[in-house]
Amino acid sequence: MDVGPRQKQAFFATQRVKNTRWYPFTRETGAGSPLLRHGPFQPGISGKLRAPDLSIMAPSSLRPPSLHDPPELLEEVDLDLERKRRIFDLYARLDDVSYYELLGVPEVSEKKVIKGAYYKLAPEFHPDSYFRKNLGTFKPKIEAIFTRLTLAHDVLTSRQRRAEYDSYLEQTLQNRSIADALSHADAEARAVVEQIEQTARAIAPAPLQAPVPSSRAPLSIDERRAILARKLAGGNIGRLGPRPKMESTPPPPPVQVNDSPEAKRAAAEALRVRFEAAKAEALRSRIATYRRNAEEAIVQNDYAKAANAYRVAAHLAPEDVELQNRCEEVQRLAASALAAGYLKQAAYEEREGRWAEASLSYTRAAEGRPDDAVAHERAANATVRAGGSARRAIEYARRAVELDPKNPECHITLARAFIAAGFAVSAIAELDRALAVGPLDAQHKATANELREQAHRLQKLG
Amino acid sequence: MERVIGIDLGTTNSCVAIVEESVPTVIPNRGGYKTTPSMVAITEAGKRLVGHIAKRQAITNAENTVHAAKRLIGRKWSSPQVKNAILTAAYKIVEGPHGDVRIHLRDKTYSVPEISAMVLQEMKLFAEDYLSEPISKAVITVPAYFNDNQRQATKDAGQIAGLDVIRIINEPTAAALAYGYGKTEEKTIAVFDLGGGTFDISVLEIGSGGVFRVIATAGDTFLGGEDFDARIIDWLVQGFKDQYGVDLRQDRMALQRLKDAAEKAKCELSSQNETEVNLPFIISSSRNEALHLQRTISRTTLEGLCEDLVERCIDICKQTLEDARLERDEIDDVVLVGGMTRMPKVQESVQDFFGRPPNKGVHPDEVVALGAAIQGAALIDDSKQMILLDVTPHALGIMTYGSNFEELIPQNTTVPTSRSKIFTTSRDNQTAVKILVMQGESQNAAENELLGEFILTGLRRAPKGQVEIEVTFEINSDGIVSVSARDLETGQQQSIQVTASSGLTKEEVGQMMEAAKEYLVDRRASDAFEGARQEAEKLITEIERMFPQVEHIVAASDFGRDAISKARTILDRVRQAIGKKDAAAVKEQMESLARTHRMFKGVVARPNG
Repeated sequence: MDVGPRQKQAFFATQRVKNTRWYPFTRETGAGSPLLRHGPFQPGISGKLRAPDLSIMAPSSLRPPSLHDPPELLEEVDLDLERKRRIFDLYARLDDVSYYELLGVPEVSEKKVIKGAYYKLAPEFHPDSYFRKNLGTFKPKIEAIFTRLTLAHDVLTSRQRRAEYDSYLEQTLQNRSIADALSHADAEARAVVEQIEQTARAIAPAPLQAPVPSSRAPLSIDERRAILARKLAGGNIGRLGPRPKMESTPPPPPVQVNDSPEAKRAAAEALRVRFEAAKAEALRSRIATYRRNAEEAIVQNDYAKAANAYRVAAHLAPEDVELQNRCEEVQRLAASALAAGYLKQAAYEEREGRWAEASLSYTRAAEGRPDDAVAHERAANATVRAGGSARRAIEYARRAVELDPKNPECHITLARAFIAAGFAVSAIAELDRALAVGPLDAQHKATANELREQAHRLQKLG
Repeated sequence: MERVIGIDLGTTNSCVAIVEESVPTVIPNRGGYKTTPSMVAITEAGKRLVGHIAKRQAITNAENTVHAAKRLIGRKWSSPQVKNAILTAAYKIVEGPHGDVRIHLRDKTYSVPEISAMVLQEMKLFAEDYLSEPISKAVITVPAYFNDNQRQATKDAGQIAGLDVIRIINEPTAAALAYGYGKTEEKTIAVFDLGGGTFDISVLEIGSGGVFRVIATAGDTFLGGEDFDARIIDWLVQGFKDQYGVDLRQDRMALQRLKDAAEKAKCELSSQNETEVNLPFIISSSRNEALHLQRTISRTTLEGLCEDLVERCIDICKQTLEDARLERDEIDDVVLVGGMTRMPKVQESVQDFFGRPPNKGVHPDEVVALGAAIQGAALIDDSKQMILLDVTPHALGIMTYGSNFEELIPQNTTVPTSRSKIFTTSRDNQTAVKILVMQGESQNAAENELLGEFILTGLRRAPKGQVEIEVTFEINSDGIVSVSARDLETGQQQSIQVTASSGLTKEEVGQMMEAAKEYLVDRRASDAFEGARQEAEKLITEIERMFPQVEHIVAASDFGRDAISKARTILDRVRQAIGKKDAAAVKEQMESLARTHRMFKGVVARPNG
């Protein structure tokens, strides 16, 4: 799945639906920009997971203070500079560190170690340690840090929640690396072309003057194919960036051997042909390597790697329709695998009641699996629970119903979305449809009844 | 550094403590007792009585003696608990101007915080006497399960009493602080607190480095010793009715006597297997015969009467352990707090449930005040390394369209904390949204406690569901809830600090504070007068005793006659000053009185007269 600019925009929009606090923070987001919000440990806008390398850090867990002091540190409060810096620094990185990093414990720590770390850090960031002191803007920061420390402690000291968090952590890492890998295909392709040209140049130095290609020449069949392939690839795979300028083989100029400058030219031309040949050869071998790697990766179920390799290969050989098709196919597999990852991630977030994040993950999963009714239904449900856009929830729920009209859950969720949007009549109609599907089990029945009551209340009020 | 007292403002008894040179100490009252009944009375002469003296006259002045005011504090007139209290209380409960509860005594109406303030003021005086320095700061405890309105009302009571309440803490938590104070081992404990009016259970972790972390807390604010007493009273009343056909409830004085007797019997049954309730001349029959109540009650009977009450406590314990995600065997110690835990049946049930004998190392009546004092000292003194991580006992949320309660901060969340959620408009072109802040566990908003409300205005016009409003809840370490709402598109923002309503306006609290101050001045003056009067009267008595003898000895001389008449004048003046209750005048005469006394003594002691 490509994380193109459009997608990023969407991330950004949903990122705001996160459930913590905002940054009264101008250094990163730019003065006057809307306040950004981050979810806990959500690799998002700025978030790069700095995963296991920090696990060896001392219990203080905190990076050395930033080299320059931001003006915020000048605020006159009852705290010494060192402490201010520590608070400021940790606060700024709160969303970028994992719970382990926050508590400064290795990921394999026993419960006792985690508790110990929490008990050591909690007094430092508990406002009671600064009772009736003037803390200015540091007070909310301290409280935010404390809240996060407590969350980290609560999660990591519960066996079940910790296991879930661990796999979630792994899953987010994995999802990120897949998403990253997929989005890096472009760059990799460019790098490969660059490399090949260099190699070719070593074999045969490129001609000093590039010959003028006949631009008006009618499109060759190959070129037409390439354009078609590009069009095909442009669909839901996402578009590759502008193709690196490759000196494609120009029509050979008429060969004239008489003149001595002509001869020189001919020599240069020969050189150029050798250069092109070397390049073409290198390209062919590279494409073959990438294809091989990709197929191997598929065998190993590493769809991200496969998709990535195919994308580079397809990029290098735009005229190869068969390759383009295969590439597209693998991309779909990768997207589906990523969607599966997002589903897992979302399931954890859902269990934790982090609905906003669950909504985001389910949405991504649904995008990766446009025909998956459950993903759409869950996306709608999580969006409603998160208090997100009711319209979007309705869209997802509608799609879920469309995909699986026999599933009462889809109808119930659509009804829930209608209620969230304030459409009582539609909600009631949808609940009737859920009943029409067939007899409901006890839980569905209870939910449906509850929703019906809500809808009626809504109707009365409206 | 100013010192902070810790006050356990109990339903039936109150206690005050302080940390002296790192040792938490209970401060005794003037009678030398460590606890003081939380009772307030107004005498026929309009005099205010607090504590033991109020309790002693409760039978003869039942209608003007308030007990268990804590059961009413911060509650609404319409609440079922108040309705219940009206039926059983001997004093008159009336509706206040803000839907709150007031108490009518003699010819005046008092708010509940005012009554509690009278008790607090008394506790403050004891501390000042004991420490010989003025005290203005206090930590006051409340049942863990109190909601914010009840906490605010308790804070108001402190303010009325002239105290800066630096923190309100939960009773079981306070008990845990006292239990764990100075201990270094890590432990998970349960505090079982069954007091006069309320039941609380808290599960805490005592960590290294002086960290006390509450894991879960729950309770019932209407389950305590009073309810056990009520069962005995019911039993006695029913028995009397069966025997004589007379309903003792018709007579307030009889009821008050029954109340006293029931409490006494309950206490006695903690150490004896049987006790007799003996109330002669409790009422007269329709034929004007005097009737006597005389019945024997056994421990088994009491246990039968109160079985369900004890069961309720155990059920709450079960729930709390579940909430804390702990097994019973993970609890290292069970601490009993509150007078009701002296009841053998309660101890037995606790032991059965937790599978271990409860800890007897703490004093159930004093431990809460000690903990409050410890917390006070820890807050004020930077060198004291102790941090209390408490939780919010009730869920916090807002009411959404269709009267649904949308929870934002769940129960048992460690404070300080903050959460936000996004809500949308429910009507087309809605430009304002009303945010009702509520506390409670019910899905139906109407069943929860309303803490406050505010209106976010200036929303842009748009079809319903399109304007997204982000609501952020925050509970800071002082337990103060603030709520802010922000239109995500325009960034328009409004916020309030939710001051839970105690039922009193700021002005009212101010006025009551002034009144309490005035009372204190009067009270101090009358204390001063009382001291002077006693001293003067002692001298007067002695002088009068010696008078005939002295008169006889010195009558012969002019000088003597002169001295005698002078002494008479002085005695008259002092008596007059005492009659006028003029402390200053009495003191003025004290020196002459003492001189006269010395001279008389000298004359009497002279040999050969």
